[in-house]
Amino acid sequence: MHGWAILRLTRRWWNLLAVLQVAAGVAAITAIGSNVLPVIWQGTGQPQILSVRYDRELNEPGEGIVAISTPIFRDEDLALVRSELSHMVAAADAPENAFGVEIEADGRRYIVERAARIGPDYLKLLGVSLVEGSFFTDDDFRQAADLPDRNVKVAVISRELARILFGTGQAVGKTITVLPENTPGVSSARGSARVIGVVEMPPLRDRLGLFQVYADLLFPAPGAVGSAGANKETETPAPVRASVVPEQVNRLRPQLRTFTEFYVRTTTGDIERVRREIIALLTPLIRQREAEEGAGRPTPGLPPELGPGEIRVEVMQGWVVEAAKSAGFYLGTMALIALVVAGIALFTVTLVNLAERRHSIGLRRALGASRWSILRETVDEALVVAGAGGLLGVALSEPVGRFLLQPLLWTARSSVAGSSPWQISPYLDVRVAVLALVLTLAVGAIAVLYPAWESSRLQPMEAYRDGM
Amino acid sequence: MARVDEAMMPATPATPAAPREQANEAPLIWLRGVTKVYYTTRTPVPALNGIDLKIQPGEFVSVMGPSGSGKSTLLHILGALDLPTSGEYLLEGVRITGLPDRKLSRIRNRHFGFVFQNYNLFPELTAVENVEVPMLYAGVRAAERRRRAEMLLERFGLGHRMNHRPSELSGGEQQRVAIARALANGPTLLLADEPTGNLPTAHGEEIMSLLQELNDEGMTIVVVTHDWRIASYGKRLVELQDGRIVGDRLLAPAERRLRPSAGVSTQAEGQARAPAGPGAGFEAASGA
Repeated sequence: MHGWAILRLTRRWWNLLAVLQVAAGVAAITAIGSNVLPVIWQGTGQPQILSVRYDRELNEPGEGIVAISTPIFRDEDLALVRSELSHMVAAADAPENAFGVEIEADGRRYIVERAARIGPDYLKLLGVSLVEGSFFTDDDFRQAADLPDRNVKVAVISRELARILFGTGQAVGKTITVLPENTPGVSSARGSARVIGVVEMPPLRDRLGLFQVYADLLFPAPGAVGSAGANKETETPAPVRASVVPEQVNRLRPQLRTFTEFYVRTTTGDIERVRREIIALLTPLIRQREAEEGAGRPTPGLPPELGPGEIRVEVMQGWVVEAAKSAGFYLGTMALIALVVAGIALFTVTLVNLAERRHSIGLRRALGASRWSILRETVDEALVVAGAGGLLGVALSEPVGRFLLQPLLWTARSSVAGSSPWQISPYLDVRVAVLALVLTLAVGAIAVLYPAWESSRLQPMEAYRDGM
Repeated sequence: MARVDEAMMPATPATPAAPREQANEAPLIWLRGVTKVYYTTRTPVPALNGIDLKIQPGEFVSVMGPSGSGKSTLLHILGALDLPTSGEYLLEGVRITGLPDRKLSRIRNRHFGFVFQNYNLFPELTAVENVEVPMLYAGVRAAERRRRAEMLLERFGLGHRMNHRPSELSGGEQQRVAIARALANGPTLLLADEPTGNLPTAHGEEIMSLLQELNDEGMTIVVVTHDWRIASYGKRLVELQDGRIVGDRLLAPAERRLRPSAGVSTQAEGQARAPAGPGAGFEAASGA
């Protein structure tokens, strides 16, 4: 680089325009690369969390056939899935969620956006681990069932929440008081709970499509049973407990728990195989229950005229992946167009600059600049423009992610079944940013190669005379 | 003084055709049968026609001729800014015609300093940065570049103008910056194309005195001009007409204009005689 000898840019506004065009392309590429591609990657051939539901058909007048998820699954089904299925880590019933729970900790009040009552396999399901303390024991689950008025006694919280509440990630032994009176109807817990464990939840961006699963404040689900009572180590799959049978389940709690939905965490990207196995395993049980229903034991809360149903196994992040692909396509196309336009802009700006600088080039040649020097200075100048645009683009990728990607994803989401909130938390992947910068510099260099080569071929007097 | 790149093939001098022989001293510049034809129109336009010229180290050569006589073309070929159509150009005994661009650029950078009529400073750069440009292409380190540039500008009385841009300098100051830039790499030959053409008389004489001073210190100088008063600062006069050398002689002391500080009798302005012989008087009036 020739320092100031890259003679100060003559067409400043044109160069600024080129910088902005490059910045637009880089911002789009970085936003996609950082926020969308990882989602697509996660959803393609990777181990997934699957949602298992049993949908039954209901003929609604005026609306036709609609699918209704029915609470037909029981703890014994989870136990069976755990014991029989290969390629899975955990099967857990869906958490009982509460949104906007008001709590008090260390004398201050907070609203925790996501709290949940969870079962024993929750941590294994999410693949997260305890960083402090312990997880709920069987006694905690039993006690939760025995406590009156949905009171809670123990809690596990995320490290992020611990830092907010107590200023430190170490929160075991602290007390959290749930204040249901100010949030009527939304809280599924009340009373004071002692924190017994702190868990490391993934960052927000990794929770895409799993917002109904992740929570920062956890209480034991009343009477829940699972593959292991205390899941302190969740990294290693717990041994399958084939011995868990309905009799044992019923002994643990007085009432039969039923679920509309439960989750399975796979260890394989072969989702189809897992899906087939689950359907094959559970269908006979479900058919048997439907027969019992037909014999005069209808499911409480559901219309009796429900038709036959089928087990649906869906990748929870499936819609996110579809939305990401859709948004990625639109934004990716825009980014590529922006980069091509930026390349053309650099090309034309360089042509104009060089045409105006023929005299200057002749003079520099007279003072000893070789063809290579002229070529290099021209390319260097383009690299400065491209680099400035690239850095600006990286800086702009965050607002682009926030203001452009978000609406696109919401638009895409509307066409995808099983929608759930997807809040983009714009994220800048340094590797993507570096890659985008390198790509931009390459585009800049290639775009000006021809004009730079042409100008470098000028004889000193030729350029000097033409520029007079 | 820089030497011509040793990698260049030394040429075997043919029979010298130079008008002035200086025994036992190799010419700095030797043009042999150099022609230059421009093909910008359908009809080829000859600019130089069989130029034979030798210039010895330390000479101060004034090249005079009317417009279109080929004097600027000759200067450009001398400075390796342009290539002759035919003929041979030897620099310090080494043929430079046909050299690759890289070597020619190096020669322009190290051996020649150029001073132009319209100064040709980079308007975006300050005076000191302008002087640094040739050193930049010579690969001189930044600190050394700055030191040498400042020293040169100080020498030419521009110490207080170093950080001024050309638009903030007078014509005379700009031309002094240009001379400083021409000297930046310690060239073998200083080539000046109508160096006072855009300057008032007083400033023009100041510039020519400067060139004379440099010549007195040993610098070889070639000045192209149509102005006899300017030409009379040189020691030798080469006259061109229609692309041919029609006169080549040493100027007599009485013809020469000397700078005031030279310690030799300086002729008053307008008293310098127009040259006699071929081409005499064709531009002399312009200097009066």
